[in-house]
Amino acid sequence: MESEECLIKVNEIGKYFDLTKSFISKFFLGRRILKAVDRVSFRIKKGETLGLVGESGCGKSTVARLITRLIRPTFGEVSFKGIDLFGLSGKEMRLMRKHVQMIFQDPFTSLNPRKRIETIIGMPMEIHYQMRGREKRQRVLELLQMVGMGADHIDRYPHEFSGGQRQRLAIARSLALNPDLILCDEPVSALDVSIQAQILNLFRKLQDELGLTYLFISHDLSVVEHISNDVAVMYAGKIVEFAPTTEIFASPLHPYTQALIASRFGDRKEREKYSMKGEIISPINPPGGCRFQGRCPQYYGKCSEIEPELRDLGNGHYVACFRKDLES
Amino acid sequence: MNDYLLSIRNLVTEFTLKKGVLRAVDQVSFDLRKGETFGLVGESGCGKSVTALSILRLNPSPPAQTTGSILFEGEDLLLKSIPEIRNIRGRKISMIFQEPMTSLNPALTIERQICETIRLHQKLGKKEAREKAIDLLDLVSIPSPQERLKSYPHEFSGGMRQRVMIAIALSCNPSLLLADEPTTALDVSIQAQFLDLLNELMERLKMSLIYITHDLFVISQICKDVAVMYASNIVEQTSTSELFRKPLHPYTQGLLKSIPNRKEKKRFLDPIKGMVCSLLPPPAGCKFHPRCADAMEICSREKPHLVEVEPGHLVSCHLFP
Repeated sequence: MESEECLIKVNEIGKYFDLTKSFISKFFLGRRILKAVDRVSFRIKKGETLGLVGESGCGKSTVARLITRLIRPTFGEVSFKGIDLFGLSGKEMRLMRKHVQMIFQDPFTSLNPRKRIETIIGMPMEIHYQMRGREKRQRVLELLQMVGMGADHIDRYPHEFSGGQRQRLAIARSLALNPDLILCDEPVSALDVSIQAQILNLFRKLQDELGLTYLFISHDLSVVEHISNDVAVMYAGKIVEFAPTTEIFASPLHPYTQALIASRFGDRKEREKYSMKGEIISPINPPGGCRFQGRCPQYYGKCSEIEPELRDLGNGHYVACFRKDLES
Repeated sequence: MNDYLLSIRNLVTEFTLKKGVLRAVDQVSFDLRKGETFGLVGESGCGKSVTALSILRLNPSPPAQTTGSILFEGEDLLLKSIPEIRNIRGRKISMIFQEPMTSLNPALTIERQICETIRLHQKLGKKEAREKAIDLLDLVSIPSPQERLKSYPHEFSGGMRQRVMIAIALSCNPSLLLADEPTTALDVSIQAQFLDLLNELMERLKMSLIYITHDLFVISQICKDVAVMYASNIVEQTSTSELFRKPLHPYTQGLLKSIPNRKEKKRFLDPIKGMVCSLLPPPAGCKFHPRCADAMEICSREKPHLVEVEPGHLVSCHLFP
């Protein structure tokens, strides 16, 4: 996936967890490897949004945590503004986090309940710029205003705010260091519909004003369709399809994407046409071949033999599937 | 009038708290015919779950206090004694909850949990109850039900656990099923499977259903009629198709505009401003007026009543006197 102005290029990153408990169980049961993220690649252009969708347990949050190196990658490389994040030392990475920030799903657990808003939002500036006192307070006020909160909120505690307001505060904190990239891990999933719309508008506004780049992780297809320029669909640790948003929603090619879109937007007939059997496979010691083989309505012999790779079908539409009509 | 299975009139549920009296359900009235599905939709804290819990009298009392009338098969549930209401719970009216993992007992096999309900309400032997349990698992499309009976809840995935919950709920052929956000914890594809299953079961068993959710999409898939709740009141009530075709209450309109529209794509959504009002105490007049774009002078003074604006379309708003 080559392109000029990419802010971030993720190249074949992976995270394997070794669940083998002891030497003895290894002897009797063999190694148990959980392939949470397996050779995932994508890129995001500057100022754009990539939507990462998939069902729970497919590894989408792990991807975000790998990029910020909150967990240690097993392999791969992430090139951010030309710098390989996985090659940095711990100290260098800490400095790098100024440019890459993260917003979490649950605003009730991501803000320290014992600190005032000024401390919570000011902390990153204190750590990275040694900003203190009036200067810090001034900047916190600016940030609060930017996310649509009042100046009188600065001395309060998180419990005094509703879910939507807390998510605004979390966004303000992520903006404190003027980052280029924000990784948003299900940032609107815990919110009510009317509040969700307000927060989505805020993301848009901030992107327009500050030229931010987002990796937007969500399981909600309508939200992803609204906010993203490109969409990557993950299944059991792998990206199965990647395309511009309008393209992927108009003509999804991977049977999994088709089933997802039909189950959200389709009528009963469409759902039956694209329906998947069974449930998501366990990523522990996955079988050879395609990970989707057990549920796929278009399965045939080749799928269990070789693992399909993402390939370009032109106009930026990538798919990892051996569907017969795509083969020729 | 008499063909209603459930007829709720002026239901009020209040909680007496240290800070004051919180009215979680305020003058809610609706009717449900046999075999029909009714949706209650609204944002968190609007009183939709408390309404369902009030029907089964599951709100802890004190602090909860429920008044009004809930006529079920012609009898008022609020006047029943505790043993009488226990006899109705699970047998005539059953309920499924949002989080299947916390509603099942992790320490018991699902056989014990299904058979418990069956044997409590029906005079069946152990063996017969077991056979019934197998039939039920088969009914909710759980593969190889005979073996799965011995499994514990943790051995099931989220979607499968929710199916076990329905199996328990259906075990005594209830005439009314209350479903409180049963698909919220599930993934999209599993959610679609679950809704198709529920639709099929409703048709086959001729049961009535009250479906509670915050998701308008789910409502459109499963409910014939729907009531929109805001801050403990029903603000609009009509058939589902009518609600999507012609929403009248400004709150309903705002909710529909908050969901990204696939047909006309806009860079910015058009959300309702502000946030849900506090109920301690609620704002005077219409509870929605602080957020309403069409608010008039009367809205902050007088509380609107639910009136029939068009046949079968009820709205509680001063725009429709």
